[in-house]
Amino acid sequence: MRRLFPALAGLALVVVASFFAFPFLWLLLAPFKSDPELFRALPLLPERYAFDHFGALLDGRHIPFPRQLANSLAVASVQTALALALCAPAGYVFGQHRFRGKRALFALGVLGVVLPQQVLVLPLLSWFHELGLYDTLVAITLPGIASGLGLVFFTLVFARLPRELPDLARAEGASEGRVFLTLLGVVRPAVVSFAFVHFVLSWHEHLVPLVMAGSPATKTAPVALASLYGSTLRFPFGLLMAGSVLACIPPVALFWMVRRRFKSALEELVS
Amino acid sequence: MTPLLSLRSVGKAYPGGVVALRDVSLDVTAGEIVAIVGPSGSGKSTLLRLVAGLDEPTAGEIHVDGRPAAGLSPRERDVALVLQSQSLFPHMSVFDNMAYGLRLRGRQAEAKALVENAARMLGIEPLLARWPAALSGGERQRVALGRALARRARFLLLDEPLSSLDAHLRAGLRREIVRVHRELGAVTLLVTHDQGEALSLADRVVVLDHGAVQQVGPPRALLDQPRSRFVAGFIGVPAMAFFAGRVESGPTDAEFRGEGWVVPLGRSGAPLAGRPVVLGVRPGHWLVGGKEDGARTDPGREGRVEWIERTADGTELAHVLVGGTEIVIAFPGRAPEQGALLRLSPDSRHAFLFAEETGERLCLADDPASC
Repeated sequence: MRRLFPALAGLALVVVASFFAFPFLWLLLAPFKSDPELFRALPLLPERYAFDHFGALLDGRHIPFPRQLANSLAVASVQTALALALCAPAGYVFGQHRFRGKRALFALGVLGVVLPQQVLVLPLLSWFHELGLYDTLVAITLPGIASGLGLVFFTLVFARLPRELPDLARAEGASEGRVFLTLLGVVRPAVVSFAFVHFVLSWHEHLVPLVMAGSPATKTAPVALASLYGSTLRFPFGLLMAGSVLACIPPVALFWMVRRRFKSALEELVS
Repeated sequence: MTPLLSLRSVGKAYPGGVVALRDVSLDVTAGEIVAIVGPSGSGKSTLLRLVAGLDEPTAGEIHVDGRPAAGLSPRERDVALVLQSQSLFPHMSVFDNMAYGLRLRGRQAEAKALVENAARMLGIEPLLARWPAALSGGERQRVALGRALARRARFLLLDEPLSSLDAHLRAGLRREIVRVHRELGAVTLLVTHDQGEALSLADRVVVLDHGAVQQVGPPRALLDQPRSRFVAGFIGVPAMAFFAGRVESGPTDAEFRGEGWVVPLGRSGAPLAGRPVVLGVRPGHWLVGGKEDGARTDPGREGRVEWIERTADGTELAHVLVGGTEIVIAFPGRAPEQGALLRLSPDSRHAFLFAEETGERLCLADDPASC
């Protein structure tokens, strides 16, 4: 009995884990399969590993996918950098300074978290049309930089810093800008975590890129893959699977790069 | 010699009506260590922040080197801070922490030599490549002192620098504070709640209460000539015992009578006759007799030793219960046994008198040194 229980528990774990892991494994292996195999859930492994789907996607015969991957990369990176440049200083001011109207302004920022993005997309669309930005990467990038979540996050991060640190920086002779940069160094794990999360959210973002981009050359990877459905292709699933796997690589790679800092930032927030 | 730091009627009030400091005046010359003591909330740290330039006073003026300091940044005043905790930036190495202020001033080229030199003086060279998280509390404070030294700051501002350290480290660091202070030849302000620290390090001590200066003077003067009941009670460990009563003219001399005590004041107490006063006696200023010889000269009162407290410096403190009040009496050598009966009377030569309402110290006519 004493031996049986761990064995049974282990078996149960394997069954449950396999159940949840199955879709991921299936996705990873699907691009290598032939079209008829894609109709069947099992067997999991392809009869023969073929790279045709990747080839058809990357040589641009249906859609300019390499270009679209690059679009995604550019949008997510630039948007993350700009969001950081906007939210971190704003959070520093809200978290470290007192000023008139602070509560009202902060409430406006929180509103940005609460309001669904869908509400703003149509007004933004007509506004960007007016500015001649429709169907450009700028139009896809800009809406995401004013992150209400980023403002709230950095406000909390800076407000939690010991009061001694800014005093110390000032006493040592730091200007206001230098105080901010010094404190930014102190909260570096939080900066890295925010950048990572923002990059991933931006990478997966569907609504804004869908609305703001008209031509294939401006589309981001997720939107472009979705557009395969309505295309002249009879059966786009192989391409779709190949595209999905490729589109997963940057966020996963990024996570691998920042995993340590991400973990320490989470620990810091919990402690 | 013009004082390097001069405070003239400085006050600080916060929006919402909280007054942190009122009418503080103080001159400090270069080379002086001035300790600022007081109960928590008395405005000690506020005073330090005003001198540092981290806050501006709402009344009065601060002068640095003879010039008004209003609007001068901490950088222009050339201050260095050492705080109780968080004296270092956690994301910088010890070297970078010590070089931080130098780099901000564009003295990148000299930074290495200056930091290494300061580190050598304080014996923290092996720590330069380490991170603050890997240092002990004492090492961190040494590094913070080293940073002030490397930059040769004009004002060394210490806010409870030793309060989170244990007793052994504290003793060592006191030595380092004095060393850095002498090397800088500057003004050192030391905020502390530990009066032992203040009395042992400072040339002068400022006693603050409720934001106002109660007394400024050398440590010895605060002990021997407290200006008020507050200072007398605040300075000195264990605290002075107080008894409320009145001065009465006896058959020949005046005497204090109150709470069962009768203390002769000599002829000089006569002008105070009839006044309600408070008598203050330090733990070391009691006349103690055995039970049998007590009745001879003055009556005194009888008390029972409740327990003996031994202090680190070898003094024994007897807690004696006299008529329901516990009085602490210091014995340089061995105190009587627990349970012993003692005859006690205040040593009138060392007792203090304070006015009951104002708490102000009252002087005896034949003792001009007393006030």
